Amino acid sequence: MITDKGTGMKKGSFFGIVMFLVFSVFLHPVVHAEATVQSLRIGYVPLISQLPLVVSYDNDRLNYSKVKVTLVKYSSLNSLEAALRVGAIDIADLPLPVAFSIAQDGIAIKILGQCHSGGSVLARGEFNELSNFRGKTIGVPGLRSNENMDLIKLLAGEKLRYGLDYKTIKVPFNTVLQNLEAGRINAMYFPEPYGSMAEKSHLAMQMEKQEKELSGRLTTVLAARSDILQNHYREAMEEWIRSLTAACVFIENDIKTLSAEQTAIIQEPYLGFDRNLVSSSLSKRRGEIQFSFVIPKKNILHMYLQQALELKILLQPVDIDDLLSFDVVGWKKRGGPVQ
Amino acid sequence: MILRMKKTLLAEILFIFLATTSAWSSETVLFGINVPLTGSYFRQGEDELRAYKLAIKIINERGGILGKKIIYSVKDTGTDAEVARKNTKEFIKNGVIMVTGGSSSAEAVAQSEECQKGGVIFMAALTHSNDTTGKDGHRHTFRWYFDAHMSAKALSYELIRKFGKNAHYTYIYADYTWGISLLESMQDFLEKAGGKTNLKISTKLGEVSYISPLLQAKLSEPDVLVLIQFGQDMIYSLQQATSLQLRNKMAIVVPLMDLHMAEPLGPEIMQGIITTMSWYHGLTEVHEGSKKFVELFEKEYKQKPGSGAAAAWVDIFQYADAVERAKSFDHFKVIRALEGHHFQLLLNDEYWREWDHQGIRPTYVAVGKNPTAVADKWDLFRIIGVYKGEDLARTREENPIQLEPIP
Repeated sequence: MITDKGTGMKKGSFFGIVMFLVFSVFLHPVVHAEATVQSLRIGYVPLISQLPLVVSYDNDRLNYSKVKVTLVKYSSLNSLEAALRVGAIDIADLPLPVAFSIAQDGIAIKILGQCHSGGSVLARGEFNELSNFRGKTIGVPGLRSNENMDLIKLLAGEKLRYGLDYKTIKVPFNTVLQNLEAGRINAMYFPEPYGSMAEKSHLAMQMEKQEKELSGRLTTVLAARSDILQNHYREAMEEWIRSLTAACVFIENDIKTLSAEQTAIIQEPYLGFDRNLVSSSLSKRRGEIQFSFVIPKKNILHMYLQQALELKILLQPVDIDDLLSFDVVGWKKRGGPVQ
Repeated sequence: MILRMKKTLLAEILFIFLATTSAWSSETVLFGINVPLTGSYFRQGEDELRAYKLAIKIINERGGILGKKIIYSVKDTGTDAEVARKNTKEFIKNGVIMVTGGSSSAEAVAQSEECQKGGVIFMAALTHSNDTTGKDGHRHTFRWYFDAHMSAKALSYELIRKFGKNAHYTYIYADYTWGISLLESMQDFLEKAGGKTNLKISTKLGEVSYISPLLQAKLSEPDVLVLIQFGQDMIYSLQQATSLQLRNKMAIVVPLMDLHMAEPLGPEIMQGIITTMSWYHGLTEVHEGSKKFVELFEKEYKQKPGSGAAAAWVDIFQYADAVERAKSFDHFKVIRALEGHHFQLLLNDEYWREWDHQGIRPTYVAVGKNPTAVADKWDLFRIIGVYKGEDLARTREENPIQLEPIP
């Protein structure tokens, strides 16, 4: 270490350690003196529909002045839900029935909005008529998912009874292709890019009729723990919401001008999907995906709530007015965003 | 047999046609941005990244380069040369047309080597070691940032003027290409003039405590303590030197300083510290290009850019400009367009020296302002000397580099 005078090293090192410990005590407040930012822990799962969360973080995290965002990746919707329930994260983009379920259990959450619509694809094996679903098993991201409820409604129109004429099962993201390949499921109604991945692997094809019936739907909502919507979080939340809104605009522009190539690159370290797969899925707008930060329409929320109660996904209703938190983050004051 | 050969030939022609068509019809070009977003130099990496993104946004809004929009991939080097090398290999595998970045010279040297192998232009950003355009220089690498030789030469004039020819110096230096390079350059200039080295102590990149070397430096009783550290390492080192009240006993010099080291330290600690800088936001008063850059940067990010951001800004615009002049993305054509090219971007009449690809531009010697004289948290330096690039840069004899030939 010392290249010229080599004496006094041991004594110097010992004294150095003691001095460091002493100085670290009074240097510590210097580091934290100007800490006026609020921390937000945001959970996400690897789905194309969750792109706004990671694009917002990647584009703006160096420029936040009021908020410090920590992104936490989860491998399943179950673990994402559990993290929000126990307060390990503050915000998560979750299926609407899951948000209802958390609220029903007395955990104080609010629905901030939705970052996208659509983006889920019904893919099937060697059949292409809805009537062919009789006797089939269909993989969905969760029984408490909008995909499951939409599919049940669609197939009811074909006089197919849920649980009797066909069944849906929850399949983890990372096993959906193996389940298709092994024949444990005959079709899947899944958020992208899993439909694209199944097609690329020649395991399933997109249903032709789904454009009309299943595409462009509400699938997830941005749910936040109520305790981060207190007044002292307002500036942080507003900064983050602005960033999220800008991220939606960024993705839309990228889809329109560059076939989503930049977005596809940005997602790589966060979602981990092949760049070409994401670019292709987005530029083809699979599942009629659209990115825009809006407040979900109340009648849509009521419709899903009613359906969730009928399907016994929920045992008792939740107060939707209470779940929506428009004025908490200052949207009314700023006059938007609205759907 | 003949029919099969014809079919094979036809298939090959079709493949080449499709591949070529695909390349031509692509509407984008990919840049690889390789900067430290973690580790000791993370602040400098973040500063560079801000400027990269802004420059690319502006170029894309103007229609891109030769009609192609820029897309970019960002990788974190972690202030680690081997990670930087691995990232560069991945960039090249993914088809980048240009790599840019740095913050530690070890990272820059690693990237430069891989880019040379891959035939991809490397626009080095924040890298100060003599080796980057010296013994480790390559035909595909260009560096706008100044080097250790330039800093040491400019600084030696000020130090000799202030402390005399026979002053005694102690050095605490980062033990890798940049620290060694700067140490040697400083010793060379000061000792030739009659200065003495009392002690030199190496430290590892990423250390948190400098108490032990600082106490040894104190015992060596120099007139001037030279701290050759950078980024967070320098922040710790200077904080601890101040806490130990070393400045009552000796002057402290930091040969290379950046705004994003000075700002977290604040004017109380920065006052009186002598340093050199490749660029400073205060130059907006004399250079129109700097003024425009700072205005755009502040509008976008609500803060001042540092010298890393300036290097990143020049790298993107100079590469884009070279491609436009070359009318091609071909790396050899772009190299020819850059070599010897004079330009005005942030400063007046800068150029890329043909034989070593070093940016020739002024070096600024600055001193930390007194806290009562600062206008805001970014107003931390007073420029006390400006030295011409030609007067400071290494001569051919001092830098006997031979870049690889190009066809």
